[in-house]
Amino acid sequence: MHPAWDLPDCATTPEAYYLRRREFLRVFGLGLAASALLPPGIRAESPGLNDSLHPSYKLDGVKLTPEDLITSYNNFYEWGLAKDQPKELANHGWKTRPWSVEIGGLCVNPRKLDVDELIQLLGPIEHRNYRHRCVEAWSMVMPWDGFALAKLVELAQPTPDAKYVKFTSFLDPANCSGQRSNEFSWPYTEGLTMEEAHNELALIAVGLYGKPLRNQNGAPLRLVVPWKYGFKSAKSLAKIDFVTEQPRTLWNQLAPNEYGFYANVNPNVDHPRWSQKSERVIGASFFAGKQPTLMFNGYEKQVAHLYAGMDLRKNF
Amino acid sequence: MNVDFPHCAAAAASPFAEGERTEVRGFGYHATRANPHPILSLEKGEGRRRRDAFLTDVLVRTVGSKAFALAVLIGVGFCLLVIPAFTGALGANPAEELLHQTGEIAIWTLGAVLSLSPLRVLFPHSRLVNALNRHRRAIGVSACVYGLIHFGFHLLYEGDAQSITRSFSKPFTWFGLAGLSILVILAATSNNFSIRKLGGKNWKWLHRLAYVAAALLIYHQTIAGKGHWHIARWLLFSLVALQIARLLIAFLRRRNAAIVAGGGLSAVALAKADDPGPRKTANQIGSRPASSRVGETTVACNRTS
Repeated sequence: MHPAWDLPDCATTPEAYYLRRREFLRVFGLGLAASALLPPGIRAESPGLNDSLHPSYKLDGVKLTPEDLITSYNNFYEWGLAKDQPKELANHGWKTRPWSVEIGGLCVNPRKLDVDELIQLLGPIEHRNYRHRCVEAWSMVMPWDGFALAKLVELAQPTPDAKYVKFTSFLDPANCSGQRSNEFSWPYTEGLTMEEAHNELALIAVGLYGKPLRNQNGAPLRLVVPWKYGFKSAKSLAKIDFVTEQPRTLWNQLAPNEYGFYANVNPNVDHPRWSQKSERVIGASFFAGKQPTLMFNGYEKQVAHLYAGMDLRKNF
Repeated sequence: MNVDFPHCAAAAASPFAEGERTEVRGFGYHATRANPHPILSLEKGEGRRRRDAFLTDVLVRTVGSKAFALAVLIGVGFCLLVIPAFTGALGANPAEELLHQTGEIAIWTLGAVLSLSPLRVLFPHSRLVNALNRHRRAIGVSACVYGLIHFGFHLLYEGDAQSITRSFSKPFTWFGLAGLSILVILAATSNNFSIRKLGGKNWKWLHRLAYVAAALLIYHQTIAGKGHWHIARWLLFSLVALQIARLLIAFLRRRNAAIVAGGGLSAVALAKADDPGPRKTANQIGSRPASSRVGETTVACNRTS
């Protein structure tokens, strides 16, 4: 049975490049071709991307956002406030390989290892199409490549005291222009509850469209939690800690009335400045207007139980 | 008689009779004091001074012309909205980009018109500032027009009636709408008929609402997005700095004028110092030759102690 989080692949208007890749894979053999595109770490362990198109994918007409839009429209404040800046600035000498990741805090197996080592440990790489809903009321559909966060949690073996997972991004003011100003409290931090981290949807992404993550998309590895607003999916992770207290997160700290800790996609709870009832689809026609936003971004079945009995207006 | 620039002296003031010969001669041109040779009579460096004066003249006339103002005010929109729209430079979310760009253009245009008064007080003799001040009405009306386009894009961005209605329930939107309403009122009364009808004083008070609009709209800009304060603050700080400098200069001029007037704060001095119009001072170094200022009264109110 195919996991319920998977969205259909390009059912209506497929992304051109994506299709070309498929043909390429079919002709030259899946494993070989995919491994040629991947960094050495993935190449060694992964048998290739999970690239099969399950019949259940054809459920509805969800359309993948074209790759050039996903890689040129990024909220990555480490590289500036404008969404076209990360593409330019994050690719000016900022090295995302080699990259060491530290897993620590309240766990049996704390360790510091290279990202490619980690991918080898936790592979194979899965391919998942996820909806992505930004708190700014726009949305995309992204074909991620990665592994379940639960696998990483399992590897670390948190102690029973651990109630939250804290994600810390990199701190590199020398190379990173945005971090040289004190407008935000760098490094970027985010957090999940233990239950959320164990959820089948929570993903550590290392690739997009079958290729290693671009720097502007949060290379070399990032969190993806599709039922929450985009800012929860912290990019370019340097440290993952298991902690007792609810971690302080960057946006929550900056504007607690606007960005809650949970930040679940919820059309019934507005942002103070705009409605969350609907969203503009990136890549859609200029005059297309907005489409309705779904509760938990359409992942109600998978995650609603995590928040049973919780006042979502208060715990936004 | 100005001996430095004899060629510029007013003919009527010349003590020499018409046609009287001087030692300046050349190429069969019989120069007189009243009618000196255009080149040979020049002092050293005068050529450059004249050229500079000419270029300044061209600059000031260009900047002061209506065509220039219109070209710039429409050109901004053309370069930042129309061209990117047709070259695909609006990025992944064109509706959002157009919304933000029009908002930015509108508020910076408003900032531009609000900086004109302080600049005129700070640099009363700058011909460039005075030339720019001729376009107050055009710039102000443009701010309103771009604001209205911004509002139009907001409606387009929201897309449907329900989304638009919901957007009107947000204080964020109220600030923008309040500011824009003021701009619409000011633009609607930006004509000579309104000034006559309202009377200069009332009209001036009404149009001071522009400062209220600026405050509302800078707040609107600040809360428009995460981290937008770091853009909006540059506008706010420059406008506040200009206003402080203006008030300070006005205060100092008033005080000095009062001292000149006889040690006390006389009503006449106050009235004089209040006058925002250009005042000529004895040490003024203008771009025109000094002799052209012959006959102008000089009020050295801020030079004497």
